[in-house]
Amino acid sequence: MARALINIPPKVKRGEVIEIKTLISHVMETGFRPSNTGQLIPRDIITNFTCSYNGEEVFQSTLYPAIAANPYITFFTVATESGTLTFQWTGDNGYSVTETAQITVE
Amino acid sequence: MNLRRRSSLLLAATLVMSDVLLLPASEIPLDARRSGYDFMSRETRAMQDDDTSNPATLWVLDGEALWNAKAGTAQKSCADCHRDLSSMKGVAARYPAFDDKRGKAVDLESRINFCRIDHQQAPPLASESREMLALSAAIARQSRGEPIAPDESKMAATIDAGR
Repeated sequence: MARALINIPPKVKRGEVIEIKTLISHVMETGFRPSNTGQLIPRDIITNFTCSYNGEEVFQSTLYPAIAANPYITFFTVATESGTLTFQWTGDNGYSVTETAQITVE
Repeated sequence: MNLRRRSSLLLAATLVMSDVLLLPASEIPLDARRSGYDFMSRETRAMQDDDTSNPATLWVLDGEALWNAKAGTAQKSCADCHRDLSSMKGVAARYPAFDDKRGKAVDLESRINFCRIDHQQAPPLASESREMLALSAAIARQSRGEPIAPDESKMAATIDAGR
């Protein structure tokens, strides 16, 4: 059950700096923890997060094993025009989740 | 601070400490009880207050999906009997509750499992499992802001056992 929560102001003024908050459900297994049998649990993390604003990348982040489960990433961008924000999380074991959000710039 | 004053302070502190250690465990009076929320930092409170930042929302969303998912050999979902999740408004605030059929006090998680066994004919969910946390979070969410007020009339024996 991959779930992502995105919080952006739905209506903003042109040129305004907006905060974008994202939260995604993921175990972020570090690969350093032993299981009950003593074997290491294989690493399973999100390795990359990008946000595109009408196709243009405005934020990118590389994630590492020290990042907590359910990564919460917030960042700022300038509201330039109405359109679509596309969020993509990719990671181990072919993990890939894409979410979109609409923004209206007045 | 002179030495004598410091030593008297130290003595007072020792006395207070030993008093605390000697006191038997007692209940906090009802009006002095505070929510864990009161002890949080400003940042943590802000995160909890905003549903889109609060990680618990992930469990609530999972629980909403589970509420409508068919399970067990009966192939019934929670919604098939209880209808919309909003029908659970106020329910979680009444738990733990006395179960007449089983003759004992049960918590919300046990009630969910009884429903699974009796009506869905599905295996009970493990305590603290992701599914159980999700379902109970989604149900409890419907009672948000309501005071927890279980009906204690039949549960005196259980409450005493817990003291």
